[in-house]
Amino acid sequence: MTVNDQQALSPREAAYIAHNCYFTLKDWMTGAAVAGVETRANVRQMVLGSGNGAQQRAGGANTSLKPTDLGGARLDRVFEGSTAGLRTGFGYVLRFNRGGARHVIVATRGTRAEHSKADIYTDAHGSLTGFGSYGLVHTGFKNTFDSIRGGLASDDTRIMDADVVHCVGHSLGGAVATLVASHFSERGKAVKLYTFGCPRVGAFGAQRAMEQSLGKLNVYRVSHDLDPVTMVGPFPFGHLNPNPDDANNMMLTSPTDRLLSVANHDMNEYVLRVSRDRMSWDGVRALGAAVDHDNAVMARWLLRSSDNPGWLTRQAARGLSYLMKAISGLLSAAGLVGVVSLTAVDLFVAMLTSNLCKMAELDADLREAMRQAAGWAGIVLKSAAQITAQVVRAILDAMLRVLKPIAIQALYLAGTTGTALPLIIDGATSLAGSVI
Amino acid sequence: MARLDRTRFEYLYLNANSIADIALLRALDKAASAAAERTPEQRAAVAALAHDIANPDPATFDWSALEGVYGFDGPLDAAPPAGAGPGPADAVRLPSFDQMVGVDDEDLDAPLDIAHYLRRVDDARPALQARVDDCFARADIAAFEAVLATLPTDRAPPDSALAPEDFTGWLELYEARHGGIEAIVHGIRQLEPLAAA
Repeated sequence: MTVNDQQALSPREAAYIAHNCYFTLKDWMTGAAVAGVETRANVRQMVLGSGNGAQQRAGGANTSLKPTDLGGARLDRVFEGSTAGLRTGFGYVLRFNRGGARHVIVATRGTRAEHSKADIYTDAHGSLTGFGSYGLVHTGFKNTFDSIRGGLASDDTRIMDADVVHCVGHSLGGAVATLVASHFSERGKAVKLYTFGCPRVGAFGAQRAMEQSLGKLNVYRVSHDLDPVTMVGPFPFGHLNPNPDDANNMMLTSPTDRLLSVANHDMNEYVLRVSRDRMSWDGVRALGAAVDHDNAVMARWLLRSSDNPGWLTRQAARGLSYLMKAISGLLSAAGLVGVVSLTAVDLFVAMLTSNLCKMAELDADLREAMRQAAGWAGIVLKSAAQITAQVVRAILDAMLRVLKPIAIQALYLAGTTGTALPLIIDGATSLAGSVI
Repeated sequence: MARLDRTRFEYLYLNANSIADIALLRALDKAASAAAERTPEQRAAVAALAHDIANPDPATFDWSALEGVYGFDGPLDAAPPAGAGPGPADAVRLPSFDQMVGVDDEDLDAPLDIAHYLRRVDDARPALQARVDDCFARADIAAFEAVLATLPTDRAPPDSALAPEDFTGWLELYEARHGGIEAIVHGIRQLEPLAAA
């Protein structure tokens, strides 16, 4: 499939912008635990590439100040947001011209370690609330979106007058960027969305409604296959562009290879993967070809986690792999196209909340498999009925005890460290002279 | 009947874990390969379920089915309830049977070879000594001895070193739901970390 990425940010531009968004937090450069909003002047220095971090990274030479083709990048606004009542710097609005079109970027940041309690509660609280005409979304993300709307309102005319709006974010910032993008799309704007390690925002079809409004090819979703944050919360929450054959579902192999780890959520790792050698989006898509989309794989990841308490390990992977195949085969044969986008956890949740457990019990082979699984797991079955549900609950519970603490830790560390990356907008002009 | 001492318990531990593991693999393998053989009614019912899973309805979604599952009863960073968790902390840190008798990913789709599996078990014995010590200390030895006394005596007992053919005999008896060997296997598996989760 050929995808037209014209007018899109390049992978490097999007990754740098998502990364530098953390500089809207007060004192992120020093790591001091001070809540608040960084000054616009400092953010401008870091985001537009004149900061110390950029110099350090470039070995003393501030590469972002080299003449480029950028036609006037401007940092219009640093806006704040609120997570669980704590107000901090949350993002910025940039604009530039390219190819005769006016572009606006709205960037939103992820979590921050010293404000983690507030941010993690925001990420974690999986309750549902309505969002525009789309349906139900995660309450915490929606609350955070609501908290930045005031700041964005000041730029409303600028955003609505732009030819193209780009929304960019990592982690929680990706979730909020999804809502920002959908908000402007609902108002008729052409919006492109770029997320890195984004958790699931919408549920019960809202994710599909947002995807349709934006257009599948305008949603650039980059993730690592073993990024724990992308796996929460489980079904019925879902991603935009969830299917392996979605052109802009750019799932990449993780830096830790086969280990479920917090490092797989680190924005620095995403930057390293997509920004080298002036990689194009087609280049990023090609990287995704190495990913194994078998939904049994997640079970293996959980088993291999360094934080694995030992409840299930290597040999068990084989058993779970077969179980996933049996259930997936059942659903796939029944026409569930999206079954490959469901992780092992999703599949177990779907089984418990639908009649699939009962269905499995009508299948003699599957019922026997579940009985063996119960014996293998040392589960004392109280009755012959509900064997499947008991086994599935036990395995799901054990999986979540492994997955969720790692996801929390990954969120906690998402905004811990980082140096400014030079803003380089390909094909633009005179960046140095454009700083306002 | 010989007393179930530490040495015999070790054989019982290894054989029972192996039986549970292999029986599960064989059952799941059969279930996975039999997926196409369903009646039209069953296929229609599964298709309806597949449709429901693809289009979950907030009005009818059964959240109650998830009550008590970790992470569905509170905020994501809520600590697990007291007493919950994968088992006694010290025991969990010990290498488990599943960890030590594992196969690598590249072997996951290969046909199961019982003789090869038992060689792996034998190779894993030195690493499992601490785990066996821990399980031996926690096990109800008298209960195991009572069940062992009821088992068929026409083959080498499960608390001894078993040749592949003897092992296969116990495996098939377990798969046929023989109460005695079932009790042994479940009793041993309950000493492993997952059972405490």
